[in-house]
Amino acid sequence: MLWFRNRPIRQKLLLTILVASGSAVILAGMTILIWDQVLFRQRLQADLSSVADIMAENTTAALSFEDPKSASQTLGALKAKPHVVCACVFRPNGTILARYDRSATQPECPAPGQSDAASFGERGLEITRRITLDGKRIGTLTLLYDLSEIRERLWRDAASMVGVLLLSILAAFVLSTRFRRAITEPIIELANITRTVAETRDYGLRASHRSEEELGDLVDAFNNMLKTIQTQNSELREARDSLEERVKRRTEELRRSEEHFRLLVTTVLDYAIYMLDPQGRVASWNSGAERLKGYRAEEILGRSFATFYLPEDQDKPGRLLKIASRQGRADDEGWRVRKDGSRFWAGAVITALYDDAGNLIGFSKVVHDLTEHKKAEEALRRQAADLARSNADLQQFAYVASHDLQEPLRMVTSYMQIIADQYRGKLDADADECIGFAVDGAQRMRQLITGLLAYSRVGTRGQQLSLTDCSAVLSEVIANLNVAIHESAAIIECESLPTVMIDAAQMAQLFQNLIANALTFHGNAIPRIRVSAQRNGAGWKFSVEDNGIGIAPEHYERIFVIFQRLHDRIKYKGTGIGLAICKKIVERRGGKIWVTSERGRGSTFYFTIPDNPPDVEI
Amino acid sequence: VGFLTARADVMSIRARKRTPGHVAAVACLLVSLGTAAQLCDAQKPPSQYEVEAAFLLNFTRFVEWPAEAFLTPDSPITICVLGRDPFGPALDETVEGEVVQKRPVAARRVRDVPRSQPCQVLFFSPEEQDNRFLLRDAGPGVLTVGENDDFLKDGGMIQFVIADRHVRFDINEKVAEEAKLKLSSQLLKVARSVR
Repeated sequence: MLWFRNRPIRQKLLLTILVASGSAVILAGMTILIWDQVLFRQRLQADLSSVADIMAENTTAALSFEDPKSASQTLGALKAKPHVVCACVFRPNGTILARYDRSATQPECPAPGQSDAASFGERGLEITRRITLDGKRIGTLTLLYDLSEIRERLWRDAASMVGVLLLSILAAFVLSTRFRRAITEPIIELANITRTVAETRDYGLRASHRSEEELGDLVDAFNNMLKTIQTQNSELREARDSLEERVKRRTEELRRSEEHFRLLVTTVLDYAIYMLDPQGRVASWNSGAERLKGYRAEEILGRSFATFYLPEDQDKPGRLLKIASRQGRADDEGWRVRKDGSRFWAGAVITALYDDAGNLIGFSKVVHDLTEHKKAEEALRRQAADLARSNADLQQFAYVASHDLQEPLRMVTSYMQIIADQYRGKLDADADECIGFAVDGAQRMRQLITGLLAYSRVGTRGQQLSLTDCSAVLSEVIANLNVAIHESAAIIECESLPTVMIDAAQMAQLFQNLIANALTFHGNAIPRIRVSAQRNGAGWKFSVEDNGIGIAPEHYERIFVIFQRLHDRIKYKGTGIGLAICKKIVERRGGKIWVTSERGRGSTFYFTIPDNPPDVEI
Repeated sequence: VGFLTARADVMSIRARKRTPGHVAAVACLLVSLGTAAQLCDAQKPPSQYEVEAAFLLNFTRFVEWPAEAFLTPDSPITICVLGRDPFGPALDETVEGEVVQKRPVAARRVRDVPRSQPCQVLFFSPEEQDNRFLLRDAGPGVLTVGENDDFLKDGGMIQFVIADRHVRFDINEKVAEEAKLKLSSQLLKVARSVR
């Protein structure tokens, strides 16, 4: 059965048909054969019985008159039946009156029984017929019919049955081939297509739809399935192709960037860039490292990076690695030793490297030679210190000078005043004029010293920075200048001013100097002064605008230099120190001051106050 | 009685099958026909007349008589012996109790051809010389049987002959037809000759 199960469906169908038709033919044939045998035997019995009847009838006289010859003649008619082996006419006492033999062998006739009989025995069909005359039994006829005819018939029938069987199997084979195709071909085609699809992955194949029954449905379902697979497959392929394309592109980008990175790292000469394993052994080396530290890659790979540290710094490498692995990175600056023993100042960054699982796999180290930088820095620091010192000396000198100068000046002024009071009009006119000049000079000298002292104070006194409302400061300044404003009938316009981080006294000084300046240098018109402020980058830009005499562009810088005056003292009062103080205040606060002007139409002074004061005090 | 005896005889004959004898066979045939049992027992062959007596009886079975041959429908078939009786007791023993064609069979001896009480079979004794005339008187419906050489020539119907030591007979069918007797074809077949 296993054998059958594994046969191709074509053979299965064929076998089924052949076995079915063969069994049908064999069954029918056997039935016919058996029936034929039975019927034939019955007919034979009937035939021979009637023959025996006639024989019995025709031998009555021969028996009656003891005439074997006549009986023999009668029996001789049996020659027409070649299967009659022998026939005997018995007298009532059992002796044979006459007999017929088909051949010379004279087989024994069946024994005469008491009654008529026709039975099949070993030798064949045995017929017994009583011979009666007038109701009296006068003898017996027995007859033996061999069954070779039956056997012949059996063989002949069997042979023809085998013939029919073969013919029917042939016919079944031929006919079924056609019907079989209707079943097997779609299935075989399906199987072939399935195999082809499996081998070639060509999901565009389709089975042909031939019929409307289950096989047709199967083919349709199969085709639908293929169609679905094809669609999904092509979608999948597209997705895969685009994915591949993307991966390729990414890989290429990555490769390029890695290449660039590698080139960058290896060709960088100014930086030593190398890797450390978790224990601090050098794992990679670039040309910058070689140039910086003097080791070639094969000399240093595998050695601890403590090699680069000074003998007294040998505890540093371990500490740095600990910090880096705890905090992610560690920065360090310090002296390092080259291969040849020379030292250099290094700035180094150690960065811990972790894999995807978070395990420490090593460190990257970037080292820069800061020796030159260090030297420049130190030089700069020295210069700055020198400058600061000389500056301080100068300021100290100016302060001390102006402060100390006041005392003798006051003495000169006081005594000159006494002389003027006691001797005015008592000496001649020249003397009065001289005394007047001396008093005037001493007074101017005092003004100059006061201005100088104020100027030097801006530099020596530390700033007290606080949030200062500039509008309030300006109001205070206007109040201070009240007399001068009234004298000149000036008009001062103020916009609302911001609150900035500045020393309030210096801010007042700044406003006062600029407004006083504007009041001083006015033309024939009534002075109009306008103060405003705008946001300017990371700070404020203040402006003080007037309609005064204006300033020639070539003097824009000069006016801010101490003791520089553009006009004579008679026409315009002033010491020539106010704008210098303004410049100093603004610059100390990190801002700038400048002027724009149009000759005869007025000037505008601008200064800026950044939000954040400068770190270094100038 | 005959049946049982015959059966016993068959058994005994089977035992002696290898010693066939024609006369013994005839004897046994006679036994089966109801003759005396002792005949079969005897080893001596039956005599010619014993056979002929049996034949006479058997003739009645193969002959069809016209109805007018009998006085009544149940009249017996009478076998008459004309002249001196050569059978002795054999004929009477043979016909004893026999029924042929639903008629009993009887044997009678006559001196002349009977007129009133007709015979159906008339056997002419071999000692009768003037058969020709007697036969002319026999009339229709009588089967005439004789033994003399010219019996058929003289107008007889069946003539016994001894051939090859067996009792056979010749038949003159024409005469029988003229006498309105129908002889069975079987009878004609077993006759030695039919004219």
